[in-house]
Amino acid sequence: MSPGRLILLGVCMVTALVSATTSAVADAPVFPRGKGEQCVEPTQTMRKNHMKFLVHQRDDTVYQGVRTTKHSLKNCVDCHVQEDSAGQFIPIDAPGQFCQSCHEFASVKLDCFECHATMPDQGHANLGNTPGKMGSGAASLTAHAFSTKPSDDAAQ
Amino acid sequence: MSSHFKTLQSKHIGYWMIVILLAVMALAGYGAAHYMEVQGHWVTGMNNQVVWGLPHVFAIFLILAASGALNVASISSVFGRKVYKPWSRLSALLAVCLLVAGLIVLVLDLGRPERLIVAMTHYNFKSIFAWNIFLYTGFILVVAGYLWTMFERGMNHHTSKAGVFAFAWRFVLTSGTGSIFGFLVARQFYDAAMMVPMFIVLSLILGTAIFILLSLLLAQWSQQPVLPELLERLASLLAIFIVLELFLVTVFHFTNLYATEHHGIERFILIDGGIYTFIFWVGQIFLGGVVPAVLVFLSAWGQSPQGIKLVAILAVLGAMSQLYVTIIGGQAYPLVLFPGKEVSSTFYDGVVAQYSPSMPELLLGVGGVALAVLLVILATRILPFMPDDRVSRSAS
Amino acid sequence: MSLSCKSKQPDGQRRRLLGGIAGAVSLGGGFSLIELALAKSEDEAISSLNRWGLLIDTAKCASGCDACVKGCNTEHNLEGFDRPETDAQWIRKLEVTDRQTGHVSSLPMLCQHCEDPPCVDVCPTGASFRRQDGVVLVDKHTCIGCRYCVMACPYKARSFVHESLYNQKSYSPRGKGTVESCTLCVHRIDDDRTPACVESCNRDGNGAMVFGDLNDADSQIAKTMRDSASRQVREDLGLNTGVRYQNL
Ligand code: SF4
Repeated sequence: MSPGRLILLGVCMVTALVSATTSAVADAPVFPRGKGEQCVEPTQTMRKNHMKFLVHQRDDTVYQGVRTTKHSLKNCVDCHVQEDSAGQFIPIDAPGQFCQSCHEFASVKLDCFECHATMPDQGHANLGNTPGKMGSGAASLTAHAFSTKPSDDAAQ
Repeated sequence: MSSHFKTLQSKHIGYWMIVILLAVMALAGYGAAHYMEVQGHWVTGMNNQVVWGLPHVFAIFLILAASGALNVASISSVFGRKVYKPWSRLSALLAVCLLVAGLIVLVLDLGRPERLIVAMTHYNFKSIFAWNIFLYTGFILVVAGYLWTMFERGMNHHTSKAGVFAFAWRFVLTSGTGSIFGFLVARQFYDAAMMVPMFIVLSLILGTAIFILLSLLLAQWSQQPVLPELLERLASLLAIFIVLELFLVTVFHFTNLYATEHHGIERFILIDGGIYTFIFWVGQIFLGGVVPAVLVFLSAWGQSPQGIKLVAILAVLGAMSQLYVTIIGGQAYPLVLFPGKEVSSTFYDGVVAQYSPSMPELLLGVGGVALAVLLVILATRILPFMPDDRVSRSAS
Repeated sequence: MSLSCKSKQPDGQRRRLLGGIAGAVSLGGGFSLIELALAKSEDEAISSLNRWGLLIDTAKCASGCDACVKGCNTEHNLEGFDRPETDAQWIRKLEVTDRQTGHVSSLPMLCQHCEDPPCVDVCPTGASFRRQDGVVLVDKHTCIGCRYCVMACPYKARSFVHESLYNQKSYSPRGKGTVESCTLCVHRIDDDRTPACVESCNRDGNGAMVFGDLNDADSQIAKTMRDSASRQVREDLGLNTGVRYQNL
């Protein structure tokens, strides 16, 4: 390849990169913060690996009956779900909500909520005989969500 | 050798009209499947009583036909009959296309068709369905290899070996398909080893009949008549298969009648099952069995091209009826939870289940058949699958 | 995976042994204290030393009572779409009439949690599986919705989800295009609680259902089954069901 072409290629690549980053900043998903101080794992780890944690936990729960909440989907929902002005939960897969906003941005289809609850159980406590451990995950958790400022995103 | 085969070079307006028609039907089938997936299966005739509906009937139909369509090639390379040889490539092509279409229909009717990859990566080797995934994909590869030995001059001497292998494979495949039902111990109608031979012969019927119809169709466009001699042989083969199937069906029902526990289901299919009884006697036994057999064996007209065409159509109809009665009728009859007792519940226990096919299911099934034919008649334009005059003549 | 299971087994064993002691102690009145100490911890895996099951006394179960069905439907939010042919039913009441004698029994029918479940045998992807503690489940993450298991089940215990669902319970995921059936309330079992149907039957029904560990010789269910006759439905199939019936 001639030097001239190489330079041209380089210029193209840089332009592409710059435009990609700027557009990423412009369209970066904006989503609500979760409850508490911090997430169950460092934000960067969660961004990259949340699906791995979820799949691991899912198999442990389905096959082994392990019900720890740290990496459970239910825990994500409990912590990140929003309430509307009337105090009703907004489904976490609704547009603009925590899960959906990011998945839409990344164009990754979100399949969890075809089956899983999109909000904490309402009135669960009066259904069971004893309010068991199942309901306690959110309450005991002092986790916090990602920080979600777009500038933060661009800095990564 | 390859010079004795040619591509289809039809400029017939009829050819293109059929291509367009088939493409529209196949697309409609895909659209129907998409609709069913988005809405969920409640928009179909299927329910929790009849969980396999018309798409399954069509899928099994296509899969059985695929294995049977290899007949012509098998007879040519396994049994060395010369008159079949010019059509052996088309026969193998038809087998592959029918199987591909059958699998597509089967997959599109799944509750989660987009999880096909899961089916390809998670196996439970105790499941006949899981074996079938291998048998079906394997069949496509085996027949592709077989075709390659036919096309590649240097490989021609391997054709008969490949043919034997494909021949064995297709029997295992059809047995696997029959076993889907034969191993369902809980269901009164399926719990029988006879399912396997019945499915094997059914596949021979379907494959032969569809091959006859398709070769007659293609012959119109290629100025390449199917030799009367070949047609007559295929028709007698078909009639023999039909009589054999009638025999197997009779044995099946007689053994069932012998066991008191099966009297309920037998009564249902043979006497008071309404639509299923009707389809059984009129579609499967009379129109699809007795009439074509009589036509071929007892009338001269049954040996004419027109007669043979009708015989093939009736055979397809009969096979379709048999699959419908077996698959849908077998599910419509209630499970027997407590032999000798009557049961009732809010979940349709003890009552005959209702099933009426819906439009999307019909479109999906018919779309699958259209796709198979479309693939064949397009492929024949691209590669030399069609026999060339000289070979056909010299063979006779 | 199998290694980690093995390492968990002593825990399960301890749980069972202690369970025996707990039964004894509870007579003395220290019930709640011991029970707290025994509850399976969240991170503890299930064990094949347990085999959970139900014993249903058809003599107590009354025609017209559907407390268990209601309990199940509420627990798992099985409210349908008013389309009885396609709506899911995990547990249903059966009226069984003897053709000869006219005797009628009424009983709940549900997944029988077989030791050799036909649904598990036929499932192509292994989505239908049997947990080590005997509970037969569908892993809906790998279910492709082929419905072969529905065809294979002798008890008509499985339903296919025919349309999109909302309002699922967090502990009971269910969704369109997959097959489902009674989970024996695993979410409750893992939490040392009783399945919803049994609880409802005891509270609002006729106390016809007992839940417990068939492998634990000291459990109420095992004792009752040892002392009086019980039957499996379609025992001719030899599936060794975890749900058994008395007075049938
Ligand atoms: S429907 Fe799901 S669980 Fe049932 S056999 Fe098919 S893949 Fe397995």
